[in-house]
Amino acid sequence: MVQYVVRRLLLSLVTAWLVATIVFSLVHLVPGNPALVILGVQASPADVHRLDQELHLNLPVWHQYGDWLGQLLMGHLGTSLIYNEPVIHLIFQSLPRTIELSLVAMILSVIIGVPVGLLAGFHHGGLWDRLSLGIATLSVVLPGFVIALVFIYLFTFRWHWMEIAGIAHTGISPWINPLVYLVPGLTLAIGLAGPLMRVLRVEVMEAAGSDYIRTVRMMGISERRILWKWVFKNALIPGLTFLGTQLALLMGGVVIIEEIFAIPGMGSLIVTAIFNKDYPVVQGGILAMAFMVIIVNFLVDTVYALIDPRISYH
Amino acid sequence: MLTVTIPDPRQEVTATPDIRHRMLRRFSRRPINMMGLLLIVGIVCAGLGAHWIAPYPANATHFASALRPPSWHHLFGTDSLGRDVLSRIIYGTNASLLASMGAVGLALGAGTVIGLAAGYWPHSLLDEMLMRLMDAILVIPPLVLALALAFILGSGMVNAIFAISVIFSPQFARVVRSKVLTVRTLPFVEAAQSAGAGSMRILWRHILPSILQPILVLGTLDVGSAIIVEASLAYLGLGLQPPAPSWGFMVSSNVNYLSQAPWLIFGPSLAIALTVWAVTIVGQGLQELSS
Amino acid sequence: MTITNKVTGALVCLLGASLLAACGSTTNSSASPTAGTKTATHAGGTLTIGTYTTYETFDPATSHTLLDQQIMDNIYGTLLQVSPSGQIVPNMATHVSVSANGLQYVITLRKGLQFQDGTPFTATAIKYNWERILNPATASVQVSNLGPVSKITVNSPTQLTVAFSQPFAPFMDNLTGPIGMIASPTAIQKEGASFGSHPVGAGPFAFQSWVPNGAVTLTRYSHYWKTGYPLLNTVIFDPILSASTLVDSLDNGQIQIADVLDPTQLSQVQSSTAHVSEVPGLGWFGFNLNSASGPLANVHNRRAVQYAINRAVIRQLVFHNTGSLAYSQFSPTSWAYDPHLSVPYSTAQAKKELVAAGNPQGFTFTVQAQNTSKYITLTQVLQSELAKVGITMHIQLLALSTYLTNLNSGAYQANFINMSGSLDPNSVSYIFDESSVNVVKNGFNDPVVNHLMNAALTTPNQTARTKDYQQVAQRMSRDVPMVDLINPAILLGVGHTVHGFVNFPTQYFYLGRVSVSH
Repeated sequence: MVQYVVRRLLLSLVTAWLVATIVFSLVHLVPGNPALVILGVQASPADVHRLDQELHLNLPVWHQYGDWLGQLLMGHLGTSLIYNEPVIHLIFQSLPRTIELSLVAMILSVIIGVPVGLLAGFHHGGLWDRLSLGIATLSVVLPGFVIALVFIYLFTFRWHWMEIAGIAHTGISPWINPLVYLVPGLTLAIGLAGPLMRVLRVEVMEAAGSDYIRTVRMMGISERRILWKWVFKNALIPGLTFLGTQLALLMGGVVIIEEIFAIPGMGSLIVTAIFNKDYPVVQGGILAMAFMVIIVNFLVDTVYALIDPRISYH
Repeated sequence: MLTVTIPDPRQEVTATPDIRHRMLRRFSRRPINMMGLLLIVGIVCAGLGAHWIAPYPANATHFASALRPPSWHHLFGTDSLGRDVLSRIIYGTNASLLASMGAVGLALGAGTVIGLAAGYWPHSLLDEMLMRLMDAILVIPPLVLALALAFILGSGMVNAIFAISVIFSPQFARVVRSKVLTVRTLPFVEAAQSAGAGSMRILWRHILPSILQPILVLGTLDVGSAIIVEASLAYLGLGLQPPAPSWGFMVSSNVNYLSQAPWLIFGPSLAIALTVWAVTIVGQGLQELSS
Repeated sequence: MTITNKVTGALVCLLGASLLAACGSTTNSSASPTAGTKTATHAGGTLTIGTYTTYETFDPATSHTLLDQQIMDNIYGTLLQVSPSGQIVPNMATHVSVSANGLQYVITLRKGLQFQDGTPFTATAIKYNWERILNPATASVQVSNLGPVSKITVNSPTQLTVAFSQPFAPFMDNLTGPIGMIASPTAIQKEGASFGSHPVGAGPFAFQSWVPNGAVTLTRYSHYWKTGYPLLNTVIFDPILSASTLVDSLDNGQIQIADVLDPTQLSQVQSSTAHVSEVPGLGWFGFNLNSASGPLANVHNRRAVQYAINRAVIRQLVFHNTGSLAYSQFSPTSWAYDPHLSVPYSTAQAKKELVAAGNPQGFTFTVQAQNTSKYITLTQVLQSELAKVGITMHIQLLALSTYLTNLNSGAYQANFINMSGSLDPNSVSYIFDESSVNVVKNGFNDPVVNHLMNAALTTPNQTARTKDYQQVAQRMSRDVPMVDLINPAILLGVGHTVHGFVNFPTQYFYLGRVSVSH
């Protein structure tokens, strides 16, 4: 068990190192001198030289790579070319918004996905099953931005619920107004709830069909009790682990949702930085998001190993 | 005898006409599969024949009839420059399909090569390096990675295809690797090895054909996701330049008209949803068939 | 893009040696249509202003966007101010006098001014700020607003003398703009490069916080020199990037001012909660043509472009019937405006010019534009207009940073300039028309225009200056370094709960006297 966790930890560290390497090479993928690309074709040689120095682009690539990793280990992510602020500050200001939004999305997806998924599995072929299939299909075929725009259209222009939904004015923290993330969160939750329902449905069907449950059922225990005591419990763990594994995808979705709802989180930070060619922020932002995914993946794996003794530890 | 019970997986691909016929029948027995297939054929034809099918040219402006709601003349209404939305959606099919299929094709190729190499020499340094690299790509939020790559490489269809393919490659590599792991221990591969066939030859002639089917199914399903990624990139402003029609861009450039002219948003959205739905249905049909 | 050079004021004041006497005391700014009817001023409260884009920096030396300056105006205040009637009035400076030869200005400061960090605001602080702007290492965009400054001398804690090597007519107006915003030298030294995100001034509101890509919050500065002001406790500038959401936030009362309304959204403002405040602007919106190389180097091709564009269509489709058709850089609100100058829309003339250029079938060029819906519409309208005479225009949409980099380096064939307004004609024209300065590097170089621009800059006589500028406008419309399209109106959405708010043609808004009711 300990050995398994240590092995997962080492693998996570290797992944983190590789992510750092990919992120480092992103800037060096730029054809030609990155400083020139950042500054524009007709930048003066002096400016290019200054930026070269600032970004250490004048050193050999391996040297730069070593420096970059060294700085990273000490928690230095450089300084934004646009805001002139340490990248780490910008991330600490933006990350809470993204985490809050992701949490709201996860909670909403559980609220929607778990009951529907469980019921769909238990009465498969029935109304709940069809509903779960419908939502799952929607979540697959509609891009996040379309769901967002449909919600904005309905909530603001059709039903005039925007005061309730708090679609605008998302620059403030949800701790002050918890409703501001309702609609953006719901948009992301649709994308998560669909696959979650399908996973739960399959798990419930498997559990309900197992020999064990059949035996219990023969003992004359009520259906409702069977459902709550055995079937749902067994199905929930894989369902929730599944949610954990969807974090990377969720983070990807966050990018476009933050843009649409003008939420000043990591997504907005990175997208703006990409368009501004603010490469230190792009690099730092991607790293921060990827590291979060790595940490959550590691935790999910560990928790999963703790609660499910069937997992093999090698 | 034991050897008789182990089927040569190649049979799945090099199936006899009879088996192929039966599989096709099984696929076509479900009406929803056929609907999906017909829709795909229809969409592809509409894209290729846009010039003849679209009621108006894609970029013909008619300022006097700007922002008209859907009517018999303009089924999906007109945009702020009086262009026919339906025609632009039909023309936009090509960009969407070309980008998504190109990206998935590239990802399939790259992922397969990586997966074959990793799976054929499991637990080697090469395997570890390749697969950890795939893990690393998978933990980076896909849209962020695609956006960064597309922007750094510069706008244009080819760069967008490359950027999207990077985020789809790891899945193929993983599936191919796991398939190779099971296939390489099968007797017919071992037989080829003992007969002195080279690694390349075994990979190409014996292993690749037997894993083709699952990756083609995965590829079909991925085309759907790739359409969404392409539309999202276009929505964020990385894609074709106007006036060339592209679904994602048609949505993003008309967001201001959401309340006044929602058809400008919902027309192209519907096109995205229908196309992805058709591709997904067919992909799932194929998946059921192969399992 | 919005180049701003907020240089404002009535030139009348310049002619008198003493500003104070000529322009009188501060005026009561209750010009808002609703403000007059409601009586009480409500102290306290929060005003939320929704804006159309995010902010870059609040360092007056390096900021170059109007939106930053609208916020900075309230953090720093300005040495001189523009009254609602368009006159220059004292603010942080009580008195500015100019010598008869126009070479020396003596600026007298209000006594007892204090920065928000507690340090005194003295003449030395002004000298420090201006020398920082003049220092090439700062790379300040404001250098041109200081003109040919030769020496800054501190006479006393509240007085300094600014000497010029040659007369510089717009200087007094410039003191109402970014160079009139004085930052705390202590804070500049303490914050270093990050001063732009931790600004400290002596204006009515102190900077509190700024979420990157998000809202800026200002709070009431209790030691503001104007006793009893500001009235508001808190001002929030909240970037709401979508034009339609901006209007909805206004309709729902989540924001009280929409800065600025997109012309496509005017019909969406609900009269029960807010009104559209529209004033004619002082800026211009132009289609900039690079005459340095390519087909647009040929003046006949540029003229063909000008004749082929129907400005009325652009006003209708892009500006939704707001603003006025522009034939020069000077808006009808400016004293340099020439009502007799206009260019006809004529495809026949355009085709004639194409023949004269030697390419009767037309030619091909690429326009660069920002990736926003306004430009997406505009470029496609232009594209279809130009196609009618055989000119093929390709469209290249760019992110703002790339767009600006290309604009400032001349790496383009054509693009757009959205110049926000100033009362002095010099500030909306000089940096584009005078070839040695030309910030947009469009290759335009006319010695006569250069001469006229410099003559107008150094002449204090407005009649003579008007003549110079009108001649410039005529030459520019003949040689077409850019096609001036529209003089846009300034469109703000203002909630009925807002009192004392004034929409200036200069697009600055001073919030010291603004209050909100519930």
